[in-house]
Amino acid sequence: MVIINNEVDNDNTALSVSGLTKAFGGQIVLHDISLNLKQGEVVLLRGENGSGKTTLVNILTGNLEPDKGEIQLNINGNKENFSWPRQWWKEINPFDHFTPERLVWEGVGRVWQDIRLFPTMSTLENVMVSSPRQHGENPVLALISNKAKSENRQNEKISSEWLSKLGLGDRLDSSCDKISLGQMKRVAIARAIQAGAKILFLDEPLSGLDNSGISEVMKYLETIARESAITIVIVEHVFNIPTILKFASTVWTLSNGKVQINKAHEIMENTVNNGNHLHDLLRQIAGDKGTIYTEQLPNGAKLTVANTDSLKESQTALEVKDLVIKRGIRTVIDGLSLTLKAGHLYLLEAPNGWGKSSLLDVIAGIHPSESGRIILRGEEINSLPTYSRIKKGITYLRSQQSVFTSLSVEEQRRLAKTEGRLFGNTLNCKTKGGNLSGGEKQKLSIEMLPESDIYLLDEPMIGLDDEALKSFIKTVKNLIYKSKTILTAVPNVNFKREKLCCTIINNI
Amino acid sequence: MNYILHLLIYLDIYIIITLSLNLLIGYSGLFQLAHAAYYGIGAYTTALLMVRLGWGFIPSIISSIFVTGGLSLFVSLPAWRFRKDYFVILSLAMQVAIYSLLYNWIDLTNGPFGITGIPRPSIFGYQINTLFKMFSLSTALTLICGTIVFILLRSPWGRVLNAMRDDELAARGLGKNTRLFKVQAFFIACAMVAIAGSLYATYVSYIDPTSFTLDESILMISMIIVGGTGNFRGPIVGALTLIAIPEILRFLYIPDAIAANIRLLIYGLLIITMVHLRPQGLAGKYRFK
Repeated sequence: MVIINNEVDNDNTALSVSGLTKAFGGQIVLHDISLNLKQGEVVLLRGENGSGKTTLVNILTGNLEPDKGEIQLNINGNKENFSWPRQWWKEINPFDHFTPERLVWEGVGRVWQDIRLFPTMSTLENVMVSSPRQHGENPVLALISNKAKSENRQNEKISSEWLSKLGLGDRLDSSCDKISLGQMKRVAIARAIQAGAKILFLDEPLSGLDNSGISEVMKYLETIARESAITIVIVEHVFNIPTILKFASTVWTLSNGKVQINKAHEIMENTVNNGNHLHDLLRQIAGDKGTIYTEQLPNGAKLTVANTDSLKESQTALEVKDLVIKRGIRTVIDGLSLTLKAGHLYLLEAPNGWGKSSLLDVIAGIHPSESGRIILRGEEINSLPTYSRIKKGITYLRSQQSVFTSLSVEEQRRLAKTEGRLFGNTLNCKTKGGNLSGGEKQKLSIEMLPESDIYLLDEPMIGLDDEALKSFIKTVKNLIYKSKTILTAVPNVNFKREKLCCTIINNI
Repeated sequence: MNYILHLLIYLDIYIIITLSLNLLIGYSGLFQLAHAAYYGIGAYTTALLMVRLGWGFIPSIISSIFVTGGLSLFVSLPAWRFRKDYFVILSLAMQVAIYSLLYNWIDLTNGPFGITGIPRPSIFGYQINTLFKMFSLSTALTLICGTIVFILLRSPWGRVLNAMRDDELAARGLGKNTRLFKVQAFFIACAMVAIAGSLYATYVSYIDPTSFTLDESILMISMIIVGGTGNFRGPIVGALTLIAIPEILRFLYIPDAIAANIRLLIYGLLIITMVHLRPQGLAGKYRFK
């Protein structure tokens, strides 16, 4: 991988923020934040769950207005100044609102954490639609102007070239919900740049990606940073921070509503050992008596298994026999068989698009299987609905953070009958689910899991900060010691644990 | 022959209506329940101008297009803030309000008695006084409207509407002024339905508010659901299917007393079946590979 450390020497400030303050329901998330973003700079924005990373990005991309403060933009010589609290005459002027589209016109773009491509459109149309100032967007000109038509053809050509450059030349007509996650993220970046972004905010561009997806996206980001001189701000969570640090020049760390600014090399040494939690977890579970071994599954996936005592006889908790899963006309999993035993942790690592989430969905009864059997403690459960499977002892954490947006944290805990607070008092009881940050939603989803015999966890650690990860790992360990079964699915990312998983290590 | 021509004129009118409604529901994701009301405004504007002021067909229909398009602001401006279910309720309120206005503003609309004696169209002195001529006019207007919709939907404008339907915030995040696009989509759809209204008024010579009720809006929506939303063929197939059903029932010798109920029953069953088995409609767009 080519490493770029964009040391920015000039004093060309593209975005300047001063005194920015934002509170939600009396809780101050950002307090008197002041920042400068120089042209061509690559910034990593990090912080614990709920520290306000997404709030800051939302404000700087026009999706949220701060309570107080000032934002100055200076892109390509165009200066724009926004300040809060806003005067009443600006509030009633419909042409002077602080909106996402207005900031895009100024050159500020965004790639969303959940990507948000237009699913009914092809990859080519997704890029074409983002081109700014097209004559054909005026319905009258679209009907009568030849210029609009020729401009549209030109736009199609440029967009095709963009996508070919990204290695998506053969997927121009593919629907955006039929391509892999890595390809979706590349289309999203291409779309934002095509829309004219000179400052690009990327919200967790590497989350959920496997090895090849990460290298695809990083390669492309390096290219655009080098060739297009685009200023980039990347929000990432703990696992991917070392990858981003190789590329970033500056680090903004949010904590207690304040921001700390460092050079990337100052942070590097402190974080290189992060992202090793699963490795530690497997080793800790195996301890002195247990074993860790790896089974190869079809299509590049592998299942790493850890138990606490290799001599102890374990009962079969769940069996999957000859399972075939289809999504639409595509066969996702073709004839998979698995046996899960009590007191074992199963780590399913597979590339994006392998069907990890589909497999867990089918075991939990959310989607039907095409054929095959699912046997829970000797009883076939294929025909049972999800709620019956949960009653029989299967608990499922879906990869999409499953919280109720209109209920408060406290109400959701009561609904789930959660007694303990797994992550201490890090969540504000009165906050509504919809106002929680990504990491906080994940914490609450984990807290709400009912006690059970078999836990299906789809990417459970996504979005969790260091402290939350430690609490989560401790809980997983306790569950395994209580002879529970855990099947957790993650993309096959090249953590240090991979070395461990690839060889059979017997700790006895 | 006259019966066939009569049906074809109705088909033309409903194709214009469904093409315009599809622009809102299928392409922009704006579930408009007040389309029959705007159809009524179009019909009443043309009828009033022709009957009360003695205007010709062409100035009347042009005025009707602009009046109805202008009044679309009553739905398109609230659509800036009201989304999804809230917008449906808002458009329902608009449908009821406009219907009540047509029914109760007796000085202007003659209330429940309607407007009678609407003259047949005359274009530059050429009288449209036979069924065939009327059919030719309605087909010509349908072709014009169809061509406009066809070009618009393949233009960057149509692409932005699709993007707005899929994810409005993401579209705004690419610099698209979705508020402006909503206003334009409503203006064009309502202007087009005004053409259908004008054709209807001049064809049947008599209009009253009962032709523009919520039931009529639901029939229009049924047509595009059965045919398929979000594609060009869907509204045409839907209009054809739902116009054909009552006519086919005529040949089944069902007593008149229950024929209307059976028709409603078939509509209902058809919609449930379509939504369940083929949500993309009879002529629905097939997904990308």
